[in-house]
Amino acid sequence: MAQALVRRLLIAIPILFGMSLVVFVILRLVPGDPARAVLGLNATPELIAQMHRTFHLDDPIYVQYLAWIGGLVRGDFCVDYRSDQPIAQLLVQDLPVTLELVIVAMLMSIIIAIPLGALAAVRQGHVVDKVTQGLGLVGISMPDFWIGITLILLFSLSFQWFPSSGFVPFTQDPLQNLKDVFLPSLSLAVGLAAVLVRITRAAMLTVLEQDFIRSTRARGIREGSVIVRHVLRNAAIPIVTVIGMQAGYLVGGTIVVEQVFALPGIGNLLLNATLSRNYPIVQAAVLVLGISFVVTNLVADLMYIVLNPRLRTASE
Amino acid sequence: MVTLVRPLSFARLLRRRGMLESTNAQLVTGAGILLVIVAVALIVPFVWPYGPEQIVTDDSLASPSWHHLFGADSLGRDVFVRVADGYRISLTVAVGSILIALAVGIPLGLIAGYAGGRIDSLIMRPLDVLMAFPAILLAIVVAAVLGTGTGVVLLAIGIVYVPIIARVMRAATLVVRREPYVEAALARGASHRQVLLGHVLPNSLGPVIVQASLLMGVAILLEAALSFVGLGVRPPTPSLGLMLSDGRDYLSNAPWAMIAPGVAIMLLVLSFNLIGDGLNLLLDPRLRANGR
Repeated sequence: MAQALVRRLLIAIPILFGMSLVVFVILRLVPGDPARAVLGLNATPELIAQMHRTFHLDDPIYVQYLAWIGGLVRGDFCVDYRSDQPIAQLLVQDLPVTLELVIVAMLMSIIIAIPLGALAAVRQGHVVDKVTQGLGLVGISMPDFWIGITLILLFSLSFQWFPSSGFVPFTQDPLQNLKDVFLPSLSLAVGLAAVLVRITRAAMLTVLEQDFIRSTRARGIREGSVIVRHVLRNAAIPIVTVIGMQAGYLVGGTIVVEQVFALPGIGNLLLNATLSRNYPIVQAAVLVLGISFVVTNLVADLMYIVLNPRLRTASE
Repeated sequence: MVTLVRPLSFARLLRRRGMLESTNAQLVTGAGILLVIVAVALIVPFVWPYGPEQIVTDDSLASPSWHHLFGADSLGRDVFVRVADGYRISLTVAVGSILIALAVGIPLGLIAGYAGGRIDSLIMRPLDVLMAFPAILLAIVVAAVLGTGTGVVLLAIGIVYVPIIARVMRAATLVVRREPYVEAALARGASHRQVLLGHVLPNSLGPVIVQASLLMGVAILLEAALSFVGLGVRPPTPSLGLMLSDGRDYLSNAPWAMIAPGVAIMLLVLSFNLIGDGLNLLLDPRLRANGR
């Protein structure tokens, strides 16, 4: 198992390196002088020269890359030319919001999907199964940001149960914080839950037709216990793996949902920076979100290796 | 000569294997919804009394009625005709981006899977890096560099899909190239080019087609998301995502301006998902056997 873990970790290194190259190239692909694109038409020659120096824009391309990556390794993402704040500080402020959104959405989708998927598998072919499958298909067909707007219409504007925008950190007011992230997380959770329902159902159906389940039932063990202790437990590997993989996609989903709910997360930071052509922030935010995606997938892979008895016993 | 086995028609062969029954529902429903949508997109903008960009200030935020089936937006534009025209944009972006991805991804995956070794690594490793980005993030990166507009969105989504198509094509090629008929063709003296184009390519396309139909649905969601945040189609072109963005500002007094384009997107994506699932079921005997 340790070998498999190390191999998977080693694969992530060239991916992260490649990712840094792609992000580095962004600024260099912008037509014209990147400094002028970032600073705008009214920028003074001094400011443009300063940005050229900071980003080594007049040096050979490999020097530019080495200087940039060297800075990143030291945690130096440069300073935002518009707000004069260090970009690293902006990222540190915004990352927890995005992470909280992803974690709460993941928990919500698990709570919604696993019982529904299990029910559909147990009642295969019945109305419940068909309705659940139909809901799953509809769930993956809806844009998450539209679900968000619909939730605002229902629960913020009509019932006034939850706020439609804004964010209070958990440390300041835990209850208000949970209210703030409830609707955005739910809008992200619907799509993930739809995928999970399908995976849970398929994984459970595979286990349900195994011989050991027939023997367990023949031993007279209660059906509820068979489902929860034997079927669900054995179906856990694909379910957990998919949860991990999908968590990576939630990172992408947060970008637009954060904008709908005006949440101060990295996605919102990235969108605002992209719209205002603030490329150093675009680079930093893309890199952080990309790395979060790779790390989440890595954790999912590692979980798969740890959970899979065949991979576990092979090394023992 | 007496035939011992009655020749099976294609439909009877499918029915005997339980394929027609299981795929009918999904494929037919998906294709049916898609046909209706395509008809709406092609016909409505030309026959409707209102144009997609026609402003009728007196009808600003008018509620759904016989005049305006889905109501009117803040500028008094008819939402129904805009949804129909929005479908045209969505379908153009979905089909265009998939064609770009297929045109680039199929040859790359085919060559990588067939050649193997260093050529495989040379092609697939950079694509692995692109795949390591969430799709929307990569599309935003492309939009950040190239700007906005229908063409850019189409290109951005196409670029996002190239690694996915290439990977599916490579996986299918790896299986097909070991088939006896490929070895037989090579032994007969056929050139690699002939084998690739005559045997490997046509027999590897099945999974790519399934993937492409599922990706069409995701392309529509991506286009809507990019247009919604202002990085996609430019106003006044009635993209469904842009309509959602505009409708959001009048949520409490004109919810129809947001509900109609949202449902429209959902139906279009649903049709592609149903077609993708139906095709998957048709091509994968394991799924058919256990009703998964």
